[in-house]
Amino acid sequence: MEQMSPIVRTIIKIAFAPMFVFGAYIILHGHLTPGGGFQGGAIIASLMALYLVAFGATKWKKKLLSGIESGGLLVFIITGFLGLFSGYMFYNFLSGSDIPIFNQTIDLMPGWEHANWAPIWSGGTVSIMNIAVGLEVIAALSLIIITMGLFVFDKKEDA
Amino acid sequence: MINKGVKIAALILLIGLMIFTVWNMRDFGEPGEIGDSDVTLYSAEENRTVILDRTAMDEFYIANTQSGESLDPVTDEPSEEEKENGPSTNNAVTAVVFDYRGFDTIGEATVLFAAVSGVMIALRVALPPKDKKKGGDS
Repeated sequence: MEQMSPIVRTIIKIAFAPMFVFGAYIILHGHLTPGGGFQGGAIIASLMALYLVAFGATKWKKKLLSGIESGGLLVFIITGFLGLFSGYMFYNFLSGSDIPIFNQTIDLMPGWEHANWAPIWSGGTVSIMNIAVGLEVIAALSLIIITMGLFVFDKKEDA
Repeated sequence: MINKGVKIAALILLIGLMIFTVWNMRDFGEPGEIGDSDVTLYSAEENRTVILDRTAMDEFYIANTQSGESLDPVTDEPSEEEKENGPSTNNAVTAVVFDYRGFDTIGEATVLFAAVSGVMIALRVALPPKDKKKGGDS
């Protein structure tokens, strides 16, 4: 698969890190600001597509991506099922509990009926599922793009 | 491989858990029910205010998603149920997607997984054998 021109490659080298950080921010702040696992995952996956097209990279760790995808889905389902011990599926058993994982609750500011800010260490199972789904979407969309892209371009090289 | 009976048992168990989940779903109130509070919007262009009613469902979201220890709109104190059930998630949309309607998101994530499996299986079969040996596959 061919590389694109040096101009494109240089721009993508410069823009890669900010775009990655932006996608990671969308995923990790999914429980605080608009966005979430699906949206942030799509941003990072589009970065992978950009990388594939611009650099013509053919060596990808597909098995690692498959593992991340399956692992993300498993973490999501297991977290959902763990709520069964407290009541029903997707019960938010972490929020406000003693387990020190995303267990902070939001304090209401005095004078405000509803707070518009929150500690990042809040959200309970929502935050964990957010990150799991984010990883899954990154791996899944990247795998689709890589598989289809390399399939088309490999055939072109043979012809 | 796994026995066919085990697979069917797992499927029936999953369906049962899903029905159980829907049975235990949180109460949102009637769809068209008008709640107690309202929203006041001010339009600078037309220089007038519009007062919109909140539905009971809106009030449930506002009172419960943001804070695990949210205030009861009537008594200004968190009820026991709210203390236990609030996801304390600032973003109400994420709270709905992953907490209140989490079983729907399981389906979404599974559809994505199935799509990736289908793409990889279909394109792997179509690849010529020469490429398989060379492979960018790690």
